[in-house]
Amino acid sequence: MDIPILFYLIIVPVASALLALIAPQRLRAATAVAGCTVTLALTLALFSVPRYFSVPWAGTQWAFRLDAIAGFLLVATAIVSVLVVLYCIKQRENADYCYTFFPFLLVSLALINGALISDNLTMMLFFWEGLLIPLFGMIATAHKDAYKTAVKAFIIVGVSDLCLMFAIALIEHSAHTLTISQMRIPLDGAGGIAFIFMLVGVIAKVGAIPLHSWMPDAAEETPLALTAFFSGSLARLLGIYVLIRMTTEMFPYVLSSWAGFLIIAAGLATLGYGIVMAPAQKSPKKLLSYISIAVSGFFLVSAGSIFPENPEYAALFLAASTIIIALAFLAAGMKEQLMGTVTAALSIRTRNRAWLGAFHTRMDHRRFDPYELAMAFSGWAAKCAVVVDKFINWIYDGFIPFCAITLSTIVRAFHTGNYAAYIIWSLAGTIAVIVFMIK
Amino acid sequence: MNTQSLLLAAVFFPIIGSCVVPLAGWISPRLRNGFSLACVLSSLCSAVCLLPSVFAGDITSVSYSLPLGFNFILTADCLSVFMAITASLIGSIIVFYSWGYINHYKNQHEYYFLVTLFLGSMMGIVFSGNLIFLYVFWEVTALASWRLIGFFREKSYVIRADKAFMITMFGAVMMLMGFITLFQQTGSFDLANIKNALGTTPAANLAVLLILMGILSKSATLPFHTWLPDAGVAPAPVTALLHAAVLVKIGVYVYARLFIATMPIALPWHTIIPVVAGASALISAGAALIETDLKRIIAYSTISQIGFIFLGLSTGSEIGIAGGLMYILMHGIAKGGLFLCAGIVEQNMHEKNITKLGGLFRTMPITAIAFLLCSLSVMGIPPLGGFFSKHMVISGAIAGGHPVIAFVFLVGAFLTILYLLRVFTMVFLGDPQTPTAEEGSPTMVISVSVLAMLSVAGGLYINYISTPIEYIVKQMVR
Repeated sequence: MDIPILFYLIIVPVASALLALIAPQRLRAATAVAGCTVTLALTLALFSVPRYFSVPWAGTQWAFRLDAIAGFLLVATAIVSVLVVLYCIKQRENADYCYTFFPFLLVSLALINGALISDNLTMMLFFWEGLLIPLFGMIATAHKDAYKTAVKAFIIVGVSDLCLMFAIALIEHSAHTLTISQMRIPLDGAGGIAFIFMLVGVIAKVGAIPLHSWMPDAAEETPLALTAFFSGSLARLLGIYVLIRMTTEMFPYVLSSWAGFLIIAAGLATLGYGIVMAPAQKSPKKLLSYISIAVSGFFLVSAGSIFPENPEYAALFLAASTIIIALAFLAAGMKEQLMGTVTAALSIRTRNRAWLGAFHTRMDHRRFDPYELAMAFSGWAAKCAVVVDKFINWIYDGFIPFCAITLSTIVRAFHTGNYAAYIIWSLAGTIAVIVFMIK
Repeated sequence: MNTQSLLLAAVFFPIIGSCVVPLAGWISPRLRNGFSLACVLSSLCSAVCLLPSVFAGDITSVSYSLPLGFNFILTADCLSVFMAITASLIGSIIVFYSWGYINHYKNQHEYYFLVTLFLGSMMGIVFSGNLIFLYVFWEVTALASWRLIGFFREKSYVIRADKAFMITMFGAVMMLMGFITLFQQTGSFDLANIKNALGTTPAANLAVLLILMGILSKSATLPFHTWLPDAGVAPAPVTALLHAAVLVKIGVYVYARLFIATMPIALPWHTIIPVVAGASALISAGAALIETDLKRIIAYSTISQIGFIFLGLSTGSEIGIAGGLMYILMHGIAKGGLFLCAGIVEQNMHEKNITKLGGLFRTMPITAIAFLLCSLSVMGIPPLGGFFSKHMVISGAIAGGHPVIAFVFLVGAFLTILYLLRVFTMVFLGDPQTPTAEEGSPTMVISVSVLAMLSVAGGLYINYISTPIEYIVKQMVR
């Protein structure tokens, strides 16, 4: 019974996509809503019970797994999809685009679901890399000149996928298995190289530097529905998900090695870059996109320091943040539609209020509370939601989370005994914060 | 029909039929077109009918003893049937496409005669169990391709055809010398006898080197690659035949037949050949990146992708060999589609320079989508078939102990993404540079659509391809 039920997470969106493709225009939205809603219902129904099965296919065992981590993220993905489809139906300005967007969205949903439940690396790569096609289509069909950005995104993400392919080949050679839950790879020799190549793949997917540049461009060129759905939320979700799998299962010695530092370094650099770049943007879409990049940095840091010890909470945190970031993009889209193009003449603070709009005012924009952040970092679920609620504002408010994370790395440095590397990096981060403040 | 009759039909129906094609043409052009397609389809059907027997473990053989050891032997095993199906399937689609393409030009009888003869000779190479007859069929394909490349009769085209002929002829002569060297070592030209005589002893290095020169020249691999981009002056179906389905695949097929299934080669060759293939893949990909002629870009792409096939076949690992074989199939389908799409664009726009093209997606949506799908398959993007073959080849290289070479090919794969996206965007997206044209004729559009769909199906139904390929590999390395 497990086989058909889990497969439906892929089959339902694909079937809906095909229906949406051939359906008359007036029925496409209904098809998309139905497809996403049924998928959401499926994810909720499957959420509570862990499932596992494998099937021989193409000369290897294609294993599927649904555990707590995948369950959280499947629900989040489905919720975002439903929200985005409803948003598309509600807003009229880009109606034509939305009708071509629905099939791509549904195919993406199927591929993301497939990647999330994959317990085989080749299969995961199949779904992961397959996302390139709907990504290209979603961006390229936005308007007649958007194909340039689509090509850029395709190349950057495509290269990262090739890195992942190389890493998987190395892993297969050294671990003699492609089943994620069965592999424990030491971080030396081929394992270390494989880790680095996988990290490159993740970095491009989550939009971390230096492979981030396609995200702001995609946000600028496309309607916000796309940004909300893919580049702003789900691409990052998928990337961080793989990183969690890497640090908790495939490479279980990350926390006590150079690899953890590498992830944190990439995260801090991304976080700092996103925070510095966001206020300089004239376009609201790009601004949100840079915030999204900063959030990616935050998650990278967490994945290299906190997440491996609390993977389920990490998934909850990630799921909640994904939904909220998607909402932020959609809210900005609605506001943009009402206000027209917002000029750069507005101050940063005004921009924040204007573009985050109703979403912003509903939020309790209290002062930064280090206790909450610390609890969230520790993986305490109850606090996660509170922290996530305010996360966008914290990020937007500038350097505070940057400082907090820098501080956390110092604390972690003392905890692990790896003082020198962490402290040097933390000092560098602090200097970056000072530079940012002066700017 | 018994299996021996099927084997003879697969080879001789198109070869003998090719001579009847012009006669049919005098009666009716439609009869000629249909008869030509029937000849190629007969090979395909015969090969398909041989499938149950070869996958049951039987090896069908037809043998006629001739003087001086030149025994005429045809052998059907898993590898040869797989290759025959691949070549005749793509060949059939190309002949069908020709119905719509070639009726604009003169000398159509000659065209169909040569194409049918070419595909029949390919069947001869595939099923040949004797090196001398393999060479004979090899040279027939060279002659046919020489005439087909210079089909339009313009002086510059004929010169390019001559160039292609001379390079492949030089390689063929070297290969013949290699066969003779091998004869001195084993005392036979028969593949089965050679296999028994050598056992686990590697073939003489001189023989390997000479045969390799022939293989590399035919498969347009560095340093014998220059004829292939120049061959783009031929009619589009011919370039598809040359570049995708048949001619360049002859080289890799013979490599698999001789150096994997028949005789072991010394260990250093397992490093030398991937290095040569890597250099070929990178250099030609770089050339594709700066070229502006549509067909030359795709031709350079072929040279680059042939490097991937050689990598898979030469690393010695089973997964690599399986990947190489799968690559032959997937690349043949996708590259055939690309060339045929390029043919539609060239014929309707009268232009091959991609800087002077653009915006064709609006007027040629089916061709554009077919081109995109085939490109994605060549790039190795899932769910298309090229993904699995590329993944298996890279895995095979690492399993064979060549991670650095695998990385080089990774760079080659990156360049593949770059140049194919460049072509697609410059030809089909953006603003039109010149007045645009409509889609090609129905037969042409159907042909490219079928190849695009086969590329997709190759990925979605990979299990039905990988399982027989695994069996083929096991039979080869046994």
